[in-house]
Amino acid sequence: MTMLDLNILWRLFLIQNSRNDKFHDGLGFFFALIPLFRSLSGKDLSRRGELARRNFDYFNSNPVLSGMVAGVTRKMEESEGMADTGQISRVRNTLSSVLTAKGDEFFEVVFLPLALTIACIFTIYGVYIGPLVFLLFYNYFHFKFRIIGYYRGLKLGQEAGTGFFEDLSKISGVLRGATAFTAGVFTSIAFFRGYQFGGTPVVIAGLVAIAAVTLLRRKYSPVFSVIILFVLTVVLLSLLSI
Amino acid sequence: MTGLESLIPLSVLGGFLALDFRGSLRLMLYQPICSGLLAGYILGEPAKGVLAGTLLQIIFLGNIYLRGERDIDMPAAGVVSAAVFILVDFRMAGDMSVSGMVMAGSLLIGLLAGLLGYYLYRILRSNLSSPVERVMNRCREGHYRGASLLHLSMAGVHFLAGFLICLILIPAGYAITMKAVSSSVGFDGSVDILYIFIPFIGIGSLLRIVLFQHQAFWFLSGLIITGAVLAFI
Repeated sequence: MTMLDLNILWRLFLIQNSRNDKFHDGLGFFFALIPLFRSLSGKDLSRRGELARRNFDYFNSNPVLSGMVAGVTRKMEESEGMADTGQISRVRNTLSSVLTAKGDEFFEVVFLPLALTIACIFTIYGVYIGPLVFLLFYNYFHFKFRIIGYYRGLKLGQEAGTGFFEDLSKISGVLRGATAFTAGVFTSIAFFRGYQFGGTPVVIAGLVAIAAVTLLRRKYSPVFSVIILFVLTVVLLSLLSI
Repeated sequence: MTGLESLIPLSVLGGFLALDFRGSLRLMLYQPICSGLLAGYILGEPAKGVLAGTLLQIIFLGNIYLRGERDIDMPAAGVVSAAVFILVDFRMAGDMSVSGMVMAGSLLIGLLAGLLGYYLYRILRSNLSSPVERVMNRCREGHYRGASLLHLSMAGVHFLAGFLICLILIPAGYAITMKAVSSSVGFDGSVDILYIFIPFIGIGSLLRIVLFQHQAFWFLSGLIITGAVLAFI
C-alpha cells in the first residue's frame, strides 16, 4: 500500500460530503482522486484542467463500492493512450451504475436489515452486546469491500467487474434467504411476546399494525408510513389508558 | 452525568455521528441502536440508551435507502430520543408507571429531530449545486484548491448541523416530555407496552422487503421454527 493509495482511500470515506442535486457525488469523487491528478500533472495547469474536465462530472454510486470506480479510473488515467478517447467517462458511468444497483441491493436491501434485525433480537432479550455484534458483522464486510474493491479496480481496470458481480449476486442470494429467515424469527418473537403480554387482542392489534404499514406504504413513503403509524400507536395507547 | 451538563458531549456525539451518516464514513455508529448506546454511555446509563435506541431502530428496521439517499436524520433521532429518555427517566427516579409514556415522548421528539435534520439537509443540498459548479470551473482551469476546501468544509457543516439539532432539541424535548409526564396526559404502564407494540411496525416494513424478494419460504421457516421453539420452551 503506497501513500497515494492511502491518500485516495481515506478520501473515499468522505465521498458524500458535498452531495448536491446537480452533480451528486461528483465533487466527492474528484476530491478522492486529487492526489492522483496532482501526481500525474505536477505543476502543469493545463494538464490539471484536462484531468478535471474528464473526471469532474456527475457521479452517483454506492459509496462502499465507489472505491472500485476510483481504482479503475486510476488505472486508466495512468495507462498511456486511454486518456483522450472518452473511454474513461464511459467506463466510469457504466461501472458506477452497475455498482449502484448491485451494491445497494447487497448492502441496503439485504445485509443491513439482516444485521440490524439480529442486533434487535439480541437487545429485545436484554443482551446488550447486540450493537457490538452488529458493528463487527457489518464493518467486516464494509471495510473488506471498500478496500478490496479499490485494489481490484486498480489491478484489473475495465475488467474489474467481471466475476465480481457474479460473486456479489451469489452472496446476496444466500443472504436474502437469511434476511427472510431472521425476519420470520423476529416476527415470531414479537407475536409470542404480544400473546404473553395481552393474549389474542394484542395479536390482532399486531396484525392490524402490520396491515396498516403495508397499506400506508402505497400512499406515503416508507419513513412517513412508519412515523404515521407510530404516532397513531402512541395516541391510541394514550386514549385507551385515559 | 445524568443532567443537562452533559448537553455539550451529547451534541458533539450528534455532530460526529452526522459525519458518519452524511459523509459516507458508514461505520454505522449512527444507527439508533448504536447511537443510543453511545448517548447512554455519556449519561452513565448505557442499558437505557440501548433500550431507546432499539425501539427507534425497530421502527425503521425495514426502511432501505437506495442510491445513497437518506431521508430521516438517524443520528439526530437516535441521540435525542435516547438522551431525552434517560434524562426524564432519571428525573422521575425510574418510576416504572410512567416509563412507557416517557419513552413514547422521547421517541416522538427523536423523530422530530430526525425530520428537522432531513429538511435542513435538503435545503443545504439544493443550494450546494452552484458553489460546486463554480469550483468545477476553477478545477477545469487547473486550480484544485477550491474543490478540496469546499468538500472538506462540508464535513464541518454536517457536524455543525448534527451538533445544533442535539443542542436545541435535547433540552426542548426534555422540557416538553417532563411537562407531558407531569400533567399525566397519556398512557400508563411501563416501557414494556411499547416493546410489545412497536415491533409490529418494524415487521410491517420488514415484510415488504421479504415479499419483494420472493423469500416467503424462508420467512415462514423462521416464523414456524421459532414459534415452535418458543411454544415448546
